[in-house]
Amino acid sequence: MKRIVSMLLLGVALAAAPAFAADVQVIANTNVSGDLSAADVKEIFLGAKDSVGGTAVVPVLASAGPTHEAFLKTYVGKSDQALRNHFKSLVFTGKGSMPKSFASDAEVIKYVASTKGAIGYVSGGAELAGVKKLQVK
Amino acid sequence: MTISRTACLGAAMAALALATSTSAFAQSSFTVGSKEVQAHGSIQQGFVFSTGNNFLTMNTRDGSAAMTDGAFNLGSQLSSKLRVGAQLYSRNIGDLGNGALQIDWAFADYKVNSKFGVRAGKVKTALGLYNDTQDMEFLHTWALLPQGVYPLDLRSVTIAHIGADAYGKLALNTAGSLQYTVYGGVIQDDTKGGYRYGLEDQGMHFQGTIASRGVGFDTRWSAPIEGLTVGYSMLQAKKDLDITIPSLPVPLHVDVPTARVQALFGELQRDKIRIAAEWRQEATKTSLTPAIAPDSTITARGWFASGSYRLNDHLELGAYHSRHVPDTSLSANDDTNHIRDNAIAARVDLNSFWHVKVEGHFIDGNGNISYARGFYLRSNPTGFEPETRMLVIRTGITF
Repeated sequence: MKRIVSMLLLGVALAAAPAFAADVQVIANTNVSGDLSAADVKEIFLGAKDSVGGTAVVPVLASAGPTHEAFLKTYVGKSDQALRNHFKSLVFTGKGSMPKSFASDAEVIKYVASTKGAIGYVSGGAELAGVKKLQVK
Repeated sequence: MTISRTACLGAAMAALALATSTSAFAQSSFTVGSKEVQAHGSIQQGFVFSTGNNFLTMNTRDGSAAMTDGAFNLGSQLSSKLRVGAQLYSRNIGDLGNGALQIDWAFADYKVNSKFGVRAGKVKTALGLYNDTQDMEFLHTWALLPQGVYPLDLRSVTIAHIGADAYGKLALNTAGSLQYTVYGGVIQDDTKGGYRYGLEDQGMHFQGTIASRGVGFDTRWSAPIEGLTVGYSMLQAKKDLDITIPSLPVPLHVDVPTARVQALFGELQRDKIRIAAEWRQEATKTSLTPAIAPDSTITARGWFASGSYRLNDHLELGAYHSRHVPDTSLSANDDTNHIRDNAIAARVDLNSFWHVKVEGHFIDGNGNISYARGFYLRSNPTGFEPETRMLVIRTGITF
């Protein structure tokens, strides 16, 4: 009985997780090689990791919206307010920069395509011209 | 710089903030050569009303708006490993600060990798949960951080050092990660801070500057439990100062061979809830020449526990209890040997760069005039009342 309940709970968890991941595509400039772990994505978007496989990377954010909320919930574990405060604490102690942010998928894609090392996220249905989609393990 | 200049600087920054993007991650930047330089700033204005005692050198019993501060910084990532920047800061809190413009921090930061980096210049000191961010009122739920641990008047005693840091983050696999900072340097004298003000309150006058230097470290463990951080910091400082006191015909040399500050702290941030606590101990050994009193070591302790809950994007509520005992060798029940503060606060974020806070304080005790903290003789010439009730309203803009 205990095993059946555990399997059911696991099934519910697995069913829930992809719902958020499907709403978001993590993208990168074509000079970023390989895929990332979820821990890597979190570290990059908290300003704590600035290179992947020897390539310098910079995070790019969406300024608001359901894609932004889904990405923060799935990969960063902070609300928009908490993430904003996190970067403000880095900026006002001199220990980091405020990441670029853009209002639309098109602007994020355009910036990521033209900026070496840029990693961003867009909605699940966005057309990815000039960028690569990263698989997050 | 006078108070009016601080206000003008604030108005200019506010105008710039309003003129820039209203994005949550708004930034102003320009290019020098091929490098982007980001500019950020903040300005805060407070209003304080109290019953019982005047607080923080302000005339709060009549209501005081002498609570203004602001910062402006420039920073640039020169390469993937090298970052430089500087921040100016100015404040006027009652008789403290007087709007003087100071370099808050200015350093170069070279990050070899995630495990090791170095900073050199004037650097904010990592000590406890909020030492390096205590001026960033916009980051916190509170209009006043718990004064038992983060006294606004004594900020400059620990806020920054001119020297160097080594820092890094070590991954501990399934055990989370450990951040460390090790540092050493000179701690600048603040001629407009509460430390000097408190001693001058007792009739002492300084001759020259206070020479202070320190070494320390800070460690923070990010636990595998989401949102939990636990840490320990220590700062060991050494001070020398010369003062004159009315009863002594010659100057008195005060040698503080050790002033050790320790902090043990923890914070849990999960969804809309934030819980934090910190315990602080300060042990100060003093030797006098001439030896008008024997060498002594005074140990002060303070702690706070706080909780806050964000109801929605615009409203956050919180409360804390804060305690400070100036001399642990004496009874903590004496009004002159404790400051206990119960505070409740509401923070309203009008938009992503403008907020207002309303906070009530219920304070018992006023500490020891020999180690003044918040309560000063000059502001309370008829003596201290055992209780203080205080309303603090503070608003700020950041960009």
